[in-house]
Parts: sequence; C-alpha cells; structure tokens
Amino acid sequence: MADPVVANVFKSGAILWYAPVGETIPDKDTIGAGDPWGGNWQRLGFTKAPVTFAYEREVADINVEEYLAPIDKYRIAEKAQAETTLAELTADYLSLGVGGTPTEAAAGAGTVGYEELEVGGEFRLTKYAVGFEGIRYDANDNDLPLRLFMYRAVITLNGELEFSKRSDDFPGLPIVIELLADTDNNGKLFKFQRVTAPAT
Amino acid sequence: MTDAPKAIRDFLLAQPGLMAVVETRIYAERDTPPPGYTPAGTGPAICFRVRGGGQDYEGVHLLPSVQFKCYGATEVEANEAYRVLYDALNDRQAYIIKHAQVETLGQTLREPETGWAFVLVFFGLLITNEQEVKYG
Repeated sequence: MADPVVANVFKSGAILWYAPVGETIPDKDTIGAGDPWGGNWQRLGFTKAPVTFAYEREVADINVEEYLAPIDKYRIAEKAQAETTLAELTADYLSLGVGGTPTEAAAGAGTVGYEELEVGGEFRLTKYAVGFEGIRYDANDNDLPLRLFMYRAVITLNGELEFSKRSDDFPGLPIVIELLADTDNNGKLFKFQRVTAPAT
Repeated sequence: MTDAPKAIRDFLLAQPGLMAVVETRIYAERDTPPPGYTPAGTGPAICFRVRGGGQDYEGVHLLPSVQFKCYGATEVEANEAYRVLYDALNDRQAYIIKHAQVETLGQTLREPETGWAFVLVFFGLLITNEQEVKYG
C-alpha cells in the first residue's frame, strides 16, 4: 500500500486531439503539458460539456457443480467510449460525426468564404486515432500531462443539434467516440499515460 | 492546514499581468485597504477575504468561497483591476491553488463612506490542504 499523495488528486479539464489511424502518439519526453501534439494530430476546439471516458466488459462465470459461487470469471467482450459536446459548429467537426468530406474556400473578390458538407450514402465509417490530455501539478508546481490514447475509433453524432432563441444554451455537437480493437496491436483499445515527474 | 489567504496572495503576487496593474497592493483578509490608502493617490488595489466554503471528503482540499474587492480611482480603473484579477485567477491551476473559477461576475459599486469605486467579485477555489496524513 502506498501512502496517500495529495498531488495525485488533480482537477483538470481535458483537451481532445484526433489524427488518422496509425499516427504516432506524442513523445512524452519532448511534448509537454498543453503543447501541440505535432504530426497529424489536430485539436478538437472548444467543448461545452466535460470529456467523459468509460470502459465496460462482459464477463462469463465459470461454475462447477461442487461450489455455489463461480470458481473463475472470464472476460468475453469489452468496449470503451468517450463522449463530449463540441462547442464549435463547423463543417470539419460535423463531418467527424456524420461523415462526408468538407470543402472550404477563402473569400475572394465578389465571392464569400464558405465551407460545405454533403452527407449520406456512405457505407464505410472513417476511423480515427483520438486522444485527450489533462494537466496535473506536482508538489513543485511542475505541470505534467495525463494522456489517454485511443488507437482506433469511430466518431458519431450523439444527439440533436438544437437551435433555439428561447433556450439559455447554445447549439453544440454532441459526439461519442467508440473505440475499436487495434488489429495491428493485439486488439489493444487504449493507452493511459501519466507523466509522474519532469526529466532530470 | 494550508494558510488559504496566504496561498491566494502568494499565487496572485506571482502573476505578472496583475502585478503590472496593482503592484503588491493585494490585501488578504481585509474588507478595505489599510489606513493611508487612497485609490487616486496610491493606485488600484485588491482586498479579499474568505467568506465561507467547506472542504472535500478527505479534508485534503479546502473549498473556500472568496470575496474580492478591486479598487480604482474611477469605475474604469476599478474594472481594469477586476479584469486583470479575472485573467490571473479564473480557470487557473497550480499545486496549492488547484483550481479557481469565478462564482459571480463583477459588480461595480462605491464604498458608502469613502466614495471609492470598486468591483465586487466572488471566486470559488480548490486549494490543496497540506496536513499530516491520517489513516482510518
């Protein structure tokens, strides 16, 4: 048993990042807390709901006639997912949840800048690598990242877009990030990584 | 137990944007600035005091609600002090000041007796409570 460490209790929001499947995860030695993850990682912008993460497993009991209680349990299925609500309604972010390929153009003489997204008729779901990061402070006030990497995931619009003048809320993009087994990595779902101390 | 007012003052004194406006005129556990102070003669200042709050289940964090009064020679100057306080404190994280969030946005008022302009604002804080670890 370890002694309690108050610095292990932390309070932080989480910033989401996404990239094509297979993207290298950020180097914990060189990419500090709050820094851009680099490579093809793109940040998901403002959120209007907390980032939540859940893991579930289905378990089968192994029973024998001689005992009343199971003598063992085996995991027979597992799934994990993250959820949040994006605060920025853009074609890029909408496409993550509904598919399609956004197009955009800059403003020119007599033409407006715009982005468009046409949706429907696609059978295949695009897979993404997704991750999020919170920040913890140790007793020396060093900011240290806590990261969770989801190797393969599909992102789905997870509710309604609500447009209302009478509501005290504003439209958001609720999304659910459903994890898939990484077939190139023995079916792993995610990696949790907590930097515990800065480099010496 | 962590000295919460000292922790808050130490944290604020380390914020350059705030220091540029109020310098070291940050007074803990005071309702008004000390004798001799005048907003016009001395410059903007901040007084704060814990008005209540509680602690978490284990007592390893204090959860004070803190009243801040941001003084200035005019309402405009008082609001400037309020805005730099907001930038220095809202949604900030560190080890002792684990989190801070504005509870009620600022309200511009005047002291009834002196007529000094100030902005009244409340923050909720999560402060690491440094204490001997107890078991059981």
